[in-house]
Amino acid sequence: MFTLNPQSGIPIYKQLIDQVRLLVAGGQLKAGAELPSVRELALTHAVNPMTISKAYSLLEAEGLLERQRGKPMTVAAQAHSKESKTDRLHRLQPQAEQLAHAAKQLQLSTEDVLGLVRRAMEKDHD
Amino acid sequence: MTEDVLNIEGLHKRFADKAVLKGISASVQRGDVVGLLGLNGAGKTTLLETALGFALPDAGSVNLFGSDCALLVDEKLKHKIGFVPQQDELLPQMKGSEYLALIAQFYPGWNHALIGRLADEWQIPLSTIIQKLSLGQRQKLSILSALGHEPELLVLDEPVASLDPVARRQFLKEIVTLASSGARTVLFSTHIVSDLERVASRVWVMKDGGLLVDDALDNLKERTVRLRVPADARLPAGFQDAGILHRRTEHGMQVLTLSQWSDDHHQRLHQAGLQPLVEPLSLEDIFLELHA
Repeated sequence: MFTLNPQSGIPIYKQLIDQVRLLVAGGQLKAGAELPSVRELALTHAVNPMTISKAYSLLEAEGLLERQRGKPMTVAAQAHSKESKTDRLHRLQPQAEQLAHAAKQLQLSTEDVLGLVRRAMEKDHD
Repeated sequence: MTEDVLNIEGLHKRFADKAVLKGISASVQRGDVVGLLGLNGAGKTTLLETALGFALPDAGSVNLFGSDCALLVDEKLKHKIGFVPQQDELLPQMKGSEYLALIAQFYPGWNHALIGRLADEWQIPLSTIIQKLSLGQRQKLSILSALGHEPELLVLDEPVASLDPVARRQFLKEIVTLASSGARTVLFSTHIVSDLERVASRVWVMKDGGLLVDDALDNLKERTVRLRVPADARLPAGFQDAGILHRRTEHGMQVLTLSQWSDDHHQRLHQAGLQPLVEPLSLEDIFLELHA
């Protein structure tokens, strides 16, 4: 369900938070959907359980996830409405800036880069 | 919640004319999984052995479970601790099963079911004489012999050095299981940074007998970054508080490694009209930067 890369410079809890947010924003995780338990995720990925529970707690604090005693973590009811397009686009801002920066270093034109992005999007669709 | 399982204070230790520990203070809290890194000879083994009372410090104090008596004389304390030394202390003439049975006799609460299951999963040939086992098999057996009494504090000195990737992953999952309870504490040294990166909640980095890093792994990763700005860029005044570890020029860019990076620094660069490229670093890169 999640892709966690412990060797990344991004802490594991942050990777998990970002992915849950994206899945909820994109509508793949709907209100009421159950998340794997802390122990299950920690064992599957062989990572420290505290880093998973830290991510869950922070997502709970921001209202995206809900916890009921003795039950799995679920996506909160309020989180059901898919985010607006503007908000979803805003999430890609950092990656867009990085791409633009790299493109300038490589002296590529806007058209070239847009073509590349289009092809990547189409490929991901297949 | 934040109960110290181990507390060391101003630890000094010297062997002949070489100072090995130079005033180390640190603590381990219940539920922590602490990974200890350091070059060969940095003092990791001495630190672990002194912390457990196998060696006496020249100065400073060790407090284990709120008690300052040396482990060697306190039976009760001994039962709370499991230790896997770098060089195993198995008895070579015995079969693995005989050795485990011998160790189990010392501990009334020995968990035979757990050890049976792990011996099976880790594929340790228990009916073979120990001296005929491979190094990796001996290491697994040595770890098992420290797990059976379900110690509250498990200390391991390079436990996976001889293990293959499959065995290492099995070992890591066992650490995750231990950590899941929140009540068990693990302190282990290793050279395999990627293992530590998975299971450690906290990182200690030793260098030349001192403790260079003592931080939560997440914090360490968040505040250690590589930054790229144009070579002629002028950093805002007071930017040194970002903890500049190194600075070099590469293909017309200034490359800085920072140890105290924060959002505040990012904003200050933006305000100075700079658009830095910020690269988070893996623990291996952080370790290398600390030793560059």
